[in-house]
Amino acid sequence: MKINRASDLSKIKKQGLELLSPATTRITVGSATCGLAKGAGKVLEALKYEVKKQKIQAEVVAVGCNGLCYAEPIVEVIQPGKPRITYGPVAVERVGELLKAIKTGKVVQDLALARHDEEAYCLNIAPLKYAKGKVPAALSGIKEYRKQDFFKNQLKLVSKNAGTISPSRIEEYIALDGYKALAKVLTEMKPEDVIKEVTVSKLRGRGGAGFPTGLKWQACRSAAGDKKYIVCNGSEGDPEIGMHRSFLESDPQAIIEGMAIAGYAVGAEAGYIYVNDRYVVALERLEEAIKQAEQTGLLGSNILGSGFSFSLTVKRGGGAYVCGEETALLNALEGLSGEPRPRPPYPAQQGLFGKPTVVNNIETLANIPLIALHGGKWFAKIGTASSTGTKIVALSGAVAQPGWVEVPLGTSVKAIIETFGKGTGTGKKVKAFQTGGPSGGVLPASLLNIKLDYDQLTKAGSLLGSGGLLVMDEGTDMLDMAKFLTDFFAEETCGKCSTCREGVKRLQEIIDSIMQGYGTKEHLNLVKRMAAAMSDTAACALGKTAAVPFLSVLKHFPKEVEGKLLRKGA
Amino acid sequence: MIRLTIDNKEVVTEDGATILEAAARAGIRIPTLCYHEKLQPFGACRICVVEVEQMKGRLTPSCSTPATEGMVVRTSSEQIIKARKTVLELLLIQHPLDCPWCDKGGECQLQNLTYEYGVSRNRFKDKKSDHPVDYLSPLVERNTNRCVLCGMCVRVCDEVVGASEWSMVNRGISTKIATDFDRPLNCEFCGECENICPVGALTNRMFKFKARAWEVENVSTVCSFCSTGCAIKLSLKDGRIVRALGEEEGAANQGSLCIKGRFGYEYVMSGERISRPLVRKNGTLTPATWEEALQAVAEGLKAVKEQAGPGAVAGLCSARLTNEEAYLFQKLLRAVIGTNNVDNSGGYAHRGYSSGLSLPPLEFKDLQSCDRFLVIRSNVSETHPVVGYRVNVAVKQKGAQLIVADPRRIKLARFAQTYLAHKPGTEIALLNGLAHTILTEGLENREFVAARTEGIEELKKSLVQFTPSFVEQATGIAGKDLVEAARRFASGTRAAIIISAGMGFPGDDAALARCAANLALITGNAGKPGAGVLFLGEKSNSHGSVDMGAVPDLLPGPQELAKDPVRQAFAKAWGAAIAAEPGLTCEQIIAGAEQGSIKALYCAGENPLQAYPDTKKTKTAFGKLQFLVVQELFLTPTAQMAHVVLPAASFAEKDGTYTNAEGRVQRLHQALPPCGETKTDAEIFCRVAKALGKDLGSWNPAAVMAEIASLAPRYHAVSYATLTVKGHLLSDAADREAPGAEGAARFSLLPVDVIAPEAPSAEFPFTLLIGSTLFHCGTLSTRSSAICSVYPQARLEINPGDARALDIRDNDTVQVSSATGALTITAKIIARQSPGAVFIPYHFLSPAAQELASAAQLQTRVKIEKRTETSL
Repeated sequence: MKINRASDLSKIKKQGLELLSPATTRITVGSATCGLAKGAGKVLEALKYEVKKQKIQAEVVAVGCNGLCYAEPIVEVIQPGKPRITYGPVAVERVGELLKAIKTGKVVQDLALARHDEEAYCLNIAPLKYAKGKVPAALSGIKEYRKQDFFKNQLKLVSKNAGTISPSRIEEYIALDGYKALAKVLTEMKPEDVIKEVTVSKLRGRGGAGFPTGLKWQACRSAAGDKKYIVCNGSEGDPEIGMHRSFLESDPQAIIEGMAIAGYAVGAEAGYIYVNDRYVVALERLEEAIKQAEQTGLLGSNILGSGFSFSLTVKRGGGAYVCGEETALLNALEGLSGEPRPRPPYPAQQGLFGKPTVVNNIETLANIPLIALHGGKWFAKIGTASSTGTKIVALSGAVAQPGWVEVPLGTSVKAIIETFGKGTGTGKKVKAFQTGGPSGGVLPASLLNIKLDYDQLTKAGSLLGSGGLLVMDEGTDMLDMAKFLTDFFAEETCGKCSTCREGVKRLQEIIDSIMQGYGTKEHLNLVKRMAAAMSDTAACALGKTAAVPFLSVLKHFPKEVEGKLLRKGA
Repeated sequence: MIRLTIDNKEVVTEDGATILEAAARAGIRIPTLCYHEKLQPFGACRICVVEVEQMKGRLTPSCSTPATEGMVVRTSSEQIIKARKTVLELLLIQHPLDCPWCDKGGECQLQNLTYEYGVSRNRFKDKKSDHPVDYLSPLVERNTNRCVLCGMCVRVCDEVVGASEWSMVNRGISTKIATDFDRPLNCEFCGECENICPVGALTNRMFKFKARAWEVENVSTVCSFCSTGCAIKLSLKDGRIVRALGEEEGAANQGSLCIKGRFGYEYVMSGERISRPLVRKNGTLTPATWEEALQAVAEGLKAVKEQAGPGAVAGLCSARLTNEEAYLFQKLLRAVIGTNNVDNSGGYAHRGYSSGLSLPPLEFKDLQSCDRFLVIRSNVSETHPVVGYRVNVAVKQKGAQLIVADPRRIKLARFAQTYLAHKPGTEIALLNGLAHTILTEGLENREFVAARTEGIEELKKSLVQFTPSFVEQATGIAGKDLVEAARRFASGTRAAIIISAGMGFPGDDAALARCAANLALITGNAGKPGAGVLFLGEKSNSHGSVDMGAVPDLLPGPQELAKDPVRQAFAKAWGAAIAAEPGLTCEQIIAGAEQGSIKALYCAGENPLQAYPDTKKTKTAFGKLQFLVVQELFLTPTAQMAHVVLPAASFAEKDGTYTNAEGRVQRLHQALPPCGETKTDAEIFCRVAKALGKDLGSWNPAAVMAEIASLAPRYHAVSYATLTVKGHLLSDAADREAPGAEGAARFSLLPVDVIAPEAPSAEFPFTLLIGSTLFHCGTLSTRSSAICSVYPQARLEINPGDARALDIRDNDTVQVSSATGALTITAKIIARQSPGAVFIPYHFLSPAAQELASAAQLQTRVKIEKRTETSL
């Protein structure tokens, strides 16, 4: 249905709500890549087949990921008047059992993870009430999700829809207040007001450098240019993170809405979304979502009769780490080699095709509809004074329950590892952790109380980055870790600037010689000096920070490294 | 303007300048490896880092950081020096340090910086890079072991030359400069890549092991090929030229060169040079002394003059003679012999600018500020490559819009917003069609037309017939494309129309020039920099030869022979009466020889038997001459027919000046002693005059120029005492910015009717286009082995569809015949060639395209047959 008035959104919202809490049963299967890898595809097929065969009055829907990646495949069951039940991991062999339980109004106790009596999605949204009246006895044994650590300690704002709505149905996105922000912006706000709200929110880029988004937008709006562009950075070249992929697979409409609002604010009529080509499912869902937004009249010309037009194009990237660097990304978008450009000019002045361009990453853009809808002041209250809002953290490495969670900025690393990761899961203690992806520093367990905060992490020699949290336990060889990360940079350096190209290669060699037992103190001094030269002279953040992992290992675990050096007389 | 402080020095620089540029302006040197002023900043080498106080002590590359108001910059500090040293160490780890046998030794930036920063030890150790050296390509050697990956070769090839032959391939530490899959170069071989290479990764194969950089003596002179007039430096060692370099200070070329300029100098040192005078004795040319030869010339000319009058003597000169020599040559004929029968360049190749164009020329540097280009009958990237570079830069870097009209899909068509593939020979109809559309759509610059031109009504009337549909029929260009091109052209503020002249092109240049001038004038594209018509003569002194009066109807200046006061002034200066009757043109001279009215011919550097159309006819005509004297470098086909051959010095063996296509007079400096007994053309002319009993004055070029300056107002300010390497821009070119206020010249709009090209006939279905290739210029370049290693002989370029229809494959031998002659040639199937037309370059002795052409016709029609017989 194509709409051209903001008020028509409510009609779609009604349709969406009917889909989300239907009069019959709704069975959802977490079908993001994390689920699919664990067999969610088969589960989905089996459920569909059996529902049809057994003539069960139910709809089986593929949804995204709710962060419980360790328990995939996740299946949720919503029956009228009953709490929503989260099951996992549901192997395909247990589908029959599950359907039997659904038919008979029972529960598969050993698979049930949580019970949702009602779902409060976000502030100002009326909660979706599932359970009507008293919870049936069969279900009362399952812990209500709000009483579980995993759920109650999260603040799901940007990821509120993930795992609940179908990424392929714009109605379900609209049902949970989707596009309300865009409608508000287009009908009630001037572009300057939008930028003001973003500035007041103190939102900082969720990609790496943490640059204030409002300032970036203002610079682009003020820059002279007949055309302007919004570019969404979905390159995500970090090795251990997959939350952008997961986000696109779960809630692509949020990115589209965020980009349209950004376009309106800075005066751009076209946007590009650059997504890693390996993200097959994400790309499929994103392209479908764009099509639906166009068909609904929420992308294209004269959106909601406001006179504002905005179109989106998806571009597939090769997945190079350096293409997450915004100027390298712009080069790649233009069909050039993915190598950084000299800055200045900054993209906001001269970006894509030489025009003023805002480059924001997926998570930054996903925050925009919330800020536009609820206001910058509301947003600024979340998190800490200088790091506002929430952050999605991808938890990996030595944790019992890997996955991703959304917490207010300012939450301590320790809390995240313990509450959501449930410890190392190996019986060993946490030895070290790394935040911010490969460019971040490796910090020792003694700093576990550090808070997720741009400035604190930078001060400690790491960075918030895109939100990776890699945990290492006592069994980890730190030099091995440094080698893994340095090898990653050697693989990913584009080779344009001399310091990074040559420097990373030399770092690699020094680590190798230490590992082979030929390392000397001289080598360690050399690393320090070269790291200084790299951070001084490399062209982009990749080169400037390539030595950080090794340096931080040297700083925090000196004995471990020195113990491997060549001993006199040996 | 921006004010900033660099190393405690107050610096004022223009907006948009980088820190590096601002520093350079203030005389502060910042070391670089990947920066070049001709290229966009790249920021790869990280040597040029500086400290900016406002950037919290972080280092920033000065090559790409714009200077801003109040910046406080330090270009050397302990931190900076340390960083630069580390970068150098890193670059040197795998560098082979084969400096003793590297041809860049002595002028290698890496070597110099290593020395400057005292990087005598390297803290890093690794194996030296040992990739095989790439000798696959002619002229350029690639040794990636020495490469510092500054990317300058890749960028100059893309941003300036527009060939995009080199790329950075692979990633990270495996990055290297290469062609696709490391195939040999298949490019323009301009050598800009090896020239810009700061290290020895790309080197000039001709220079290999010839000399150390510090051993050579560099002589600054001007390239002898086309009329771009690139300033070059010839490097000499042991009395031989070992290489040619572009002169960075050169105003015409800013250090750039093409294949001809960089690699084409070898002909100067060819073993085939004539080193002694030759006199025909008993039917054979026999070595003789200068006295004998000059005596023979004097007797031969005198005999004809006495028997048949001065009108039976004629002179043809090359457009490669210096201004001074061209001046002396026409003076010899006019003042000593007493005839105006003097011409050059086949008599028609100069008419575009000698009699067609009334607008002052454009200055090359201003092409970079143009926002519209119309390139018509000009494969400028091949005829005048360095001018082509300027168009590339304007279009690719600065966003100028380009309209290319050419039957062949020439290189510039790739970058063009509008490409018009018209039928061969219909340029005039196309230009008139553009003018018609602009006038009917009201897109003309009315203010300019009213203030600065006359004849608009007549022009409008004459253009009535050139409706889009008429033009479509004539040229094959769809009406809507014509209209689009016209709108695109008219919407610019500074438009340049570029046309190449040359021996191979048909002889309607004068009309073409008038049409182009009309188009420029109605759109107001005159009287401001970067706007107007650039008519590019073929050879190094094509424009100077006309200025010096080496044409039948002009006296030096050029000033009109028909005007009495002009003639009187020259008569007074030369002490000889000057005939009022204009002399014979080149075509008339050849016709005269055939009919017997011309009995003696003096060819000075001109080689009609190889370069003029209709070789058979020319040969017959020359056979009838009573006396033919040829003054040459080589025993050309023309020289072989001569009664006396006088050996002349080449451009590298003499002083003098050339005037290029933008009207810049530039100085040649003698680099080599004359080969054998050769003498400069100037000296020979004076000695011939002396043998005839007259005095032409001094042959010292400076003195001759002083005489020219006293007689030719345009050359009034030209003096050897003040000529610098930047040359002297002639006054009308320099004054073209003069506002259109009172007294400013009004430009005439001159109607031109269309000259319909002959329609293809059943017998001769193809149109033969004869012209220049990128690799050659005139016939001299065929004597350079380096150039011939890339392009050794003429090939027939034919469209793939036509080739298929004739069952011709690449490299097949085909027979091409016209009404005038026939030849066999190797076919080259090439998509850029338009269907129904074929192309043969004219430079070569055999197969010689000009044997097929007729001077009487604009178009040559040919038939093409595949040669089926196989012979051993």
